[in-house]
Amino acid sequence: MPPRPTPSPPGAPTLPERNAQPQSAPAEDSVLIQRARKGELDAYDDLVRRYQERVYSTVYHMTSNHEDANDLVQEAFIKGFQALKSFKGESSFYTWIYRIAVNRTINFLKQRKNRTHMSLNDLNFNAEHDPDLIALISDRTPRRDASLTELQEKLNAAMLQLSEVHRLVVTLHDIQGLSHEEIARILDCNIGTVRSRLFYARQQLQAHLSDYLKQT
Amino acid sequence: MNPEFESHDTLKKLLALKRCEQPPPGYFDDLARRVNARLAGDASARSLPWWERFWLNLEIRPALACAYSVAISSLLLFGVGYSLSGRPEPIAVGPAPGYFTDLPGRMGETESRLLLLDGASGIAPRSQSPPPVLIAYSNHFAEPAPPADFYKGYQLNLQPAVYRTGP
Repeated sequence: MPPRPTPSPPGAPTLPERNAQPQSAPAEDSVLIQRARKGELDAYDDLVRRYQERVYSTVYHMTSNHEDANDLVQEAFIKGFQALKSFKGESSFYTWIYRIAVNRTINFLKQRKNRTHMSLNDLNFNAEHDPDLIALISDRTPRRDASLTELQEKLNAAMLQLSEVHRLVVTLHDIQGLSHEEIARILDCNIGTVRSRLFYARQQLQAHLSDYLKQT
Repeated sequence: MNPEFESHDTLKKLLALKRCEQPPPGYFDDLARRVNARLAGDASARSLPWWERFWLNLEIRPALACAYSVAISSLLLFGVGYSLSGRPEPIAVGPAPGYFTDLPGRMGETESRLLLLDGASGIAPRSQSPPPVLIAYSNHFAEPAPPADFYKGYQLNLQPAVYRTGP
């Protein structure tokens, strides 16, 4: 669903004005949450800016589709604001908003089953200069003509063949670098489950990408 | 199997490629602005009703959802079990014990014999046992027959049915 751009209410500072204000030490999440609960949208805006990249990254790697990720992340943050009253502070806001985003994404993927359409983001400058990736393509891959873009497509296609929960643990651990403990908190399960899912998911990926991972 | 293959080192290096996928420049400024604008534009959507917050809580905490479903199922099972165990035992209805054995004596000269089914010879009289009678002492609903003087007020001429064998 396309977002509905609407103007800020009269009197509320616009984003450039807020950004222009002198930057003090970043407020604690709990302070921002208290203010957001009272309806202060700029406090919630700070929270969104703080976590949007990580949340977007997770959702994007789960869907392999930029437009879907964009919609899902917006919905997750809006749901988060609407449900702030039920946030008890038992976990960090980061874990809580992650859970909302992850569950919405999993539900979305289940509904959209077998109708996957990739819309991949461009690779940044780092990809062409990453020594590991260069080595992987030039030395270790039997298909030496494989370009980075082709490899990116194959990798995303292989990710989409995993189940949602397995894709999620690979995304959170191997791509985003979260620890097993953090993932267990986000998924509300124990660490053993995370480890076993991760191992199984890697085995599956290894099988799907065997052409690109064979030793020379 | 190759230990490196087993430890997924190459796969981890390949997955690093995913970290290089970046949205268009300026996308995150736009994302925060859009979220803010949607919240500012729809004041009614700023808070959820309690049931939607409850549902969201269940959605983001599968363990809580599981606990709720187990509790509800247990309550349901307990309720069903309780309703079955609390049902009263069926009450034996019909004439008092010994009523039929005393009946021939009370009926005086009335003769009756019980018909027994014998597989080989068919129907044979059982003369050595006290002659029973087949009388409808209860209604279709297996309720006890009313006392003998029940119908007196109605002046009905009732007579017990007697079934006899033979000509």
